Amino acid sequence: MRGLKLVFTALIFSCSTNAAQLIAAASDLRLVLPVLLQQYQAKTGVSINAVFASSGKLSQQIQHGAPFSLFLAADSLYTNNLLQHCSPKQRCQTGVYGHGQLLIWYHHRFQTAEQALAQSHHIAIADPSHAPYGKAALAYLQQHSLRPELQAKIRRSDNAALVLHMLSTGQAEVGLIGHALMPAAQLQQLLPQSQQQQLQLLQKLGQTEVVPAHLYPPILHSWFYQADPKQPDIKAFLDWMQAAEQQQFWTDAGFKREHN
Amino acid sequence: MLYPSEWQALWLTVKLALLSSFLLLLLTAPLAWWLSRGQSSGRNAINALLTLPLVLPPTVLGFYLVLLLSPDSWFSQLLRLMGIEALAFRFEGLVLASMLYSLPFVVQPLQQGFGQIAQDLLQQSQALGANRWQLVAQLIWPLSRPALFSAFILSFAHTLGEFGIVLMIGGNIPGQTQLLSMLIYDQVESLNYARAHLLSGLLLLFSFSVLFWLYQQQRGPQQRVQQQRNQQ
Repeated sequence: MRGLKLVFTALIFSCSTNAAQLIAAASDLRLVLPVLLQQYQAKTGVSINAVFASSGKLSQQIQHGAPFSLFLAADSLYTNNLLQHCSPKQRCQTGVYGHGQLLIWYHHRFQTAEQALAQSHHIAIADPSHAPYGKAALAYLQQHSLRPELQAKIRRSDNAALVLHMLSTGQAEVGLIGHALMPAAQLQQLLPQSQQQQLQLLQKLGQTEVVPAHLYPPILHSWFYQADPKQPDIKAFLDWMQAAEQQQFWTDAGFKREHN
Repeated sequence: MLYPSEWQALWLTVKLALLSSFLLLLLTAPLAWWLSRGQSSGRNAINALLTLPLVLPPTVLGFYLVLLLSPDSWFSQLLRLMGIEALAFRFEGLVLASMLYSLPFVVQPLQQGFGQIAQDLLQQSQALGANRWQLVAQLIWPLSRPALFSAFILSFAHTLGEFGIVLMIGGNIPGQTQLLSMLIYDQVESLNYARAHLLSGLLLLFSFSVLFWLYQQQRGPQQRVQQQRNQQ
């Protein structure tokens, strides 16, 4: 009992951890953004943490006071909405940093994507209600000639990153994901070993194709920035990540300048 | 074996479970006592209110708490007048959310434990000259220790496993509101299954060990209570 009292007293007076600088990012950046943040830290010594979730959820959190100075969304709808709710003293800004691409992954037992869509049992997409890649995936499937049959096969995950999890655990034989979740080989080599292994496993189990851009609406990746004196280095990171030197990174991550 | 971010998440989880459980015991004991001392429509209504967190999905409580704790709400403006920052996306907000969510797990065992203390025992003690503080310290506290332990154990265990409501209120911010349950979810999303396994195993082992130790501590008081009842 005395031990419990001591622990409790220590807890009450324990120091809180220093608040790290934070950015919020759409789930499709979950694999590649930590690489970019590490490169930035290696160059400048500044450590920035990222919190990942679907763009819709993060947008709501920011509206309710979440302490994110920078938000990298997968849809300009959310960043424009945040800008409208911004007060002058917050000095908010938005901009676009790339167009996302949709990939379709299907199991090797199917010869083509068409065959996979027709013959699979489950198709994994992110939840279209709050995930932009889910919206794009649904739009692509709704244009398909097999639309009624496809509707019954759709399995929704909470966000874009969880679609990969569904594919690697066999919960779906087809998945529609953001290109950044299966980046180019040179960028994959910079990921942690465990992530590389999972991506290699997925590449062994199936194949990926880029969905033609005209089959889904543009996925406009945009950023939202609000000034925060407690996070003074975020603006510098934002400028750095959009600089010409980082263009190869974004290309390897599957982003394009135009939706085509 | 554990990275700094994982130690932080473990520490925050334990801190949240201990703090919210202790605070709940302190704050709800008087209420549980009052509820145990009779029957009335008022008491039944309050019991129903206190039991709501058991039946409502965490998202309902989380939704209303997000509205209540967000910076523009009347509640946050009131806090600001007292010099306190808004609680949304802060550890203090998690404590409040956990306390509300674990409320029935504390009040009900306390209420049942207090209800087993016979009224005539209290009256006899008062007739023999015991004042209120003597009643509490020498009668109520020893007889209700098993119930207090049970309430603490249930609240602690319940808080260790929280996910939905703390994610909505806390925002999964590393070092501030990212609990172990959220970190495990993060690792799964990031395809880091080995780390997810390690952290899940750690949480399982830690939870079992703490609960086992707490139940062992409870054996002594329960035996003393039984002896006192036999002597009566």
